[in-house]
Order: sequence, then structure tokens, then C-alpha cells
Amino acid sequence: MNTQSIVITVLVVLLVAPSAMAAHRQESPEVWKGYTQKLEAGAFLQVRMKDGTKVKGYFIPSAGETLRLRPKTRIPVPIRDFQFSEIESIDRKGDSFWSPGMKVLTGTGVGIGTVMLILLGVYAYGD
Amino acid sequence: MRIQIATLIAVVSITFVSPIFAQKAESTPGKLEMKKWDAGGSLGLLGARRSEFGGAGTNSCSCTGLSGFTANLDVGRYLSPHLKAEAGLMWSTPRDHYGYSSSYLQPGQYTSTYRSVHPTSVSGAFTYQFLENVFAHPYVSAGIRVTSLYEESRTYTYGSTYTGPPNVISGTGRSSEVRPFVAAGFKSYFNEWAYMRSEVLTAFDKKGPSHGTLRIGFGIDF
Repeated sequence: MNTQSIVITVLVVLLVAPSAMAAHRQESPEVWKGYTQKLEAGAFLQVRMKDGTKVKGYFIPSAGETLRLRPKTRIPVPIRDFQFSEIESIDRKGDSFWSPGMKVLTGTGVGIGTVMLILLGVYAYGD
Repeated sequence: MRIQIATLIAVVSITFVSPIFAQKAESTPGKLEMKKWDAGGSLGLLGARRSEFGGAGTNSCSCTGLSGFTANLDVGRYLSPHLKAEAGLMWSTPRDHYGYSSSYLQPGQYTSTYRSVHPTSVSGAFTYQFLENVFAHPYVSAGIRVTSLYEESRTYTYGSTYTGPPNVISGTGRSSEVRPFVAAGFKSYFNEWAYMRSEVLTAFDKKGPSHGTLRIGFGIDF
């Protein structure tokens, strides 16, 4: 095994090990319970479950061992409760003010407007 | 004939096949009640080879590159939350072709032909829509597009000296082209049922990509 192989092996171990360790680290349910007690109603959250599923939604304060969320979906769905013991992580997210449709419409409008302005400039310069 | 066959396939797919799958989805308790249909209109840019849309055998065309525009109407029927059967109608701006004969019909005669082709296409496709009950759905499609070409032509025949007026023969005709296509795009929703649809499509013939469209439009689920 030459020096180059050793360096590559060490680098791979250094890069992979922290993420592998992090993946296995699990917070206790009490941590998430304490975290949510400080949240205000309506906070936008992304909750990652231990089974790998992910849910985004708005926080609804509740007592007990569950996190209550109103999922952010296009077609409304019922409020859901998640056991703190099944939660892998909770991240607070910024909720987008504009819907994807509005973003596309605005982007298209800006694009067409820009092209028209460029064409106008080209014609004006041409004259 | 090919147009009728493609239309028939699209209608049969949407009308008869879809309820079988739809009933399965509805019968499952607790399943989300999704809209079963969508419909929309869009405007787009068309790029095509010169030989496409009736241009085979002509010498030039005022339509190469992204010089054409399209207007589209689409209706779709969800077979499942992810799979959809779709039918579409597309109008394109006319394409003007010019051709000339390289051989003389009779000694001293020369002909040139102008053709204005008006393409109208019907298509049938299956679409797979990624994700479920979110505000932005990416999707991929594959299907068949049949284009009906209504053609107006004028053939000018000149004498050898080009001194007199040419003999002009006008005519009309209709032909069709069949192309498979693939497409990809997004349905970006405003709310539960209204969306913007953006899509890029490429159609193929024996020589490879024959034409493509880039379009954006508005639609609703119902």
C-alpha cells in the first residue's frame, strides 16, 4: 500500500465517519418536548420521523407526549399528532409567502418583460 | 385515418380505462380525495427541422429555429394519484415552404412552388406525476402526436425568357404526420385546484428529434 492509498483511505474515513455517527445519534423525546414548549402557535416546522418520513406543517400547541401539526398540503388533510419518541428531528423553517404557481407566473412575466425591453432597446438603437 | 385512430385511442384510454383504476383508489378507506380531471390551455414556442410539418423535399422554409408559436388545449384523467391519461390539441402558426424544380418540364420551362402549411395536432399521452398532494409536481410524459397538415400551394411556371407572366396553379391538400414524443414539466399550484403548467417536449422521427415545444399555461383540477 503506497502513501497515496493511505492518504485516500484516511480522507474517506474522516469524511464518512462524522456523518455516520450523526445518523445514529438520537435525541431523547424530552429534548423535542422541551423544544416545542418554546414554540409559538403557527410556527412552520419540518419534522423528520425515525422511519424516514418527513412532514412539513404548522405547529399547534398541545399538552401530552405528542407534537400536533397541521400539515402543509395542497388539499387540506386532518391535523396529525406525532409521538415525540418517534421523532428524529424538528427543524424550524421559513414559510414561503408565494405559492409555486405565483412564483412561476411572476418569473414568466419578468422573463417576457425583460425580452420585450431588450427588443425595444434593440429597435430603438437600430433607429 | 391516423388521426382518427389516435383520437380513438386517447378517448378510449380516458373514458373507459380510467374508471377501473379510479374505483380502486376511491374504495380505499382513508384515502385522500383527489380531483380526477384536469384541463388547461397554454402558449408556447415551436422549434422544428425544415423537413417537419410538411417541409420534406422543399428547398427553404421561413420557419427554421424557434420561429413558430403554438396554442394548446389539454385535458387529463387521473388513473391514480401519479398516473394520468392525457389528450391534447395544438395549433401552430403557418409554415411557409419554398421549392423549385431542378429539371425543366419542357425545354425552356421552370417551376417554383410556394406552400403555406397550417399544422393542427392531436396527441394522446400517459403522464407520471411525482409527489403527492404538494404545491409543485414535477412530471414526465410519453405519447403520440398526430399532426394534420392543411396545405395551400401555388405553383408558378415560367417560360424560358421570363418575359411573360407565369402560369399559376393554386391548390389545397391535406396530409398527416405521426410522431412519438417525450415531455417533462411542472404543475405549480396557486391553491388546491388552480395551477401553472410549464413543459418542454421533444418529438422524434426516424432521423432523431424532429420538433420540440416549450410552453407555459394555466389550468385547473376538477
